[in-house]
Amino acid sequence: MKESVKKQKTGMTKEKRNDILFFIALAAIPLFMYFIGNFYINGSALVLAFQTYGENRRLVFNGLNNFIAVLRDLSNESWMKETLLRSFLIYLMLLVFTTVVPLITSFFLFKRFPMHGFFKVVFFIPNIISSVVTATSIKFMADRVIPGVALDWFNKDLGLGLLSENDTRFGTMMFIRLWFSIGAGMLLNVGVMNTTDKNVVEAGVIDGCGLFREFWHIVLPHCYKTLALGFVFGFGLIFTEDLGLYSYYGEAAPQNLWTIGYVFLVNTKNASEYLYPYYSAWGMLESLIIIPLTFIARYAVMRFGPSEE
Amino acid sequence: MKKSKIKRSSAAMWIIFGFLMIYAISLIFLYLWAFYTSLKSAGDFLKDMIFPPLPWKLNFVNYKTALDLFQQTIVKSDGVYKLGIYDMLYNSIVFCLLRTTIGTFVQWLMAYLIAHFKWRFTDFFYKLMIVIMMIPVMGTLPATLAFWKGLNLYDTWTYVAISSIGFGGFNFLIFYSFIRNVANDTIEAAKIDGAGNFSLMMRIVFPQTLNAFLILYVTTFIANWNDYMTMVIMLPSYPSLAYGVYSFSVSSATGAGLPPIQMAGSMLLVLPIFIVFMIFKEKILGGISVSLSKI
Repeated sequence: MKESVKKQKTGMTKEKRNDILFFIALAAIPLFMYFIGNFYINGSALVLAFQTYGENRRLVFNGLNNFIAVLRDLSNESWMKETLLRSFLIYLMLLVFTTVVPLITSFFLFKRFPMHGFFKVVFFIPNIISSVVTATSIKFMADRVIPGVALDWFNKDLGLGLLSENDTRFGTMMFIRLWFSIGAGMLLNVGVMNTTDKNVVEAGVIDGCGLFREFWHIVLPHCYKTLALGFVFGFGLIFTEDLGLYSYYGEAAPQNLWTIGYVFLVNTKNASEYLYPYYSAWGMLESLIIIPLTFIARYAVMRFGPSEE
Repeated sequence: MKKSKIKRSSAAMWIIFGFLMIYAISLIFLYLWAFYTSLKSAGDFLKDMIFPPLPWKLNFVNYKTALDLFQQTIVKSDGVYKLGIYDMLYNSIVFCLLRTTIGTFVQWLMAYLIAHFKWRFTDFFYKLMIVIMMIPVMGTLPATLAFWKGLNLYDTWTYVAISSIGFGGFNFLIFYSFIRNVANDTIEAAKIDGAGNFSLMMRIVFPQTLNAFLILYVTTFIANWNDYMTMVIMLPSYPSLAYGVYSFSVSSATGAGLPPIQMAGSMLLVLPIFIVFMIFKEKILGGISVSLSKI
């Protein structure tokens, strides 16, 4: 009776009120930080793109001038055009290679082929070893060991090395990037493949379904939606992929390797606060391209993908 | 009758097997070579860059040299400081503990609160999070730098602690799906027995998701241990071991450019985490697969 009176007064039970107090006490700070991280900083980036530093280091409205400056640099500076084209090219190569090869690798592990346990451990090793260590090892391999072996064993002169010679460094960097992506996403892919209905697979086997057909007609349609999301969210790589240049070269990467992601990172890190509005405008222009692409791609893959039926 | 995997496998599958074997060997060879080189003298390395000259003996001098050369000079407003390997090790441990402990616990806590309290607000917030995760806002680094510099927290441990109180992304989704799978009957029974909100959370639900928590804790710890970009961008006065190795790898200090010494420096970063991984590999690899299949 007392409880119902209390409920009438406040509109909620004591239990519900306790729940709300408990929730607020624990969630208030994380929620505050979530809003700072996702709304305040993103909003600030947007506002900053329309501002510039005026007198006494105060930010003042600058209209579209930052955007105009970025677009002007993009059209006038030949290195920026080349960097942009290179970034697109790298993205396309990554898209094709990393969509197909890691999926086949994962299917192999999913089917528990010989030595799958060994492969699983070995393929995971690059995830636990620092990219700097991998880069340092590869640098010596490419610039010291391989040229030495080529000269001693095959009498072929590779000059200063695969990562130092102008003609070979991009191809070498690209190869390394693709090579190390073979095991990428392995655990996610195998995890999703493991949710395939075993009865459907068994029925397929009884009907004489080969491994390729099992992959194409049963496993792939089942995993399609989850795996397609990787493609949808991957558009950002056009502007963030740096080929690992920072690990290999620090801030002194050769210009013919630069990507938009690398240039943005190095320039922003070293920029004075007066240039933050310019780089914010740069980032907003990138978002302007990536956000619609992401939503269109998401719609397309969900609408036109294969059916599990 | 069920056909064996070998009978069902085509020539193409064996070609893939061969390809994966080459890939696995290339990875093992690379890291083994790095370790092997770290034990060679510079002279032995130059004689043969891959295989050891015979008779070959272990040479830990490179590790001592690497420890001596492993230094960072930090310029602060109140002076210039020289940091050695033990300072960097301290920074690595503080960074990893702060980031991993606060970060993983907050992810778990928020996943619990949003999954457990099924209100209109939590439902709306969960959907909002998913939508936000899909919007790739690019180039927010200048605004992030301006924000932390504006608060005078840039390049401080306070920044690391506060910025770790974030949630969302992959780890959150894994925790969320695990917590949703905790049997409702168990929770209801605990409530009838008089369990309050806190004991329900820590004594009933947390133990049931402890395995996922530990797996994500270890993998996040490994990622933080190897992270050097945070030091490059946000924490330049507190170089970690990973940053030290990065700096060492582009160093022009006398001797630092020699491959055996560079490899020895790299191994100082790799060995502790590699040992941890080899001990927990079954749990980590098996556990992550299970976690991911629950999403």
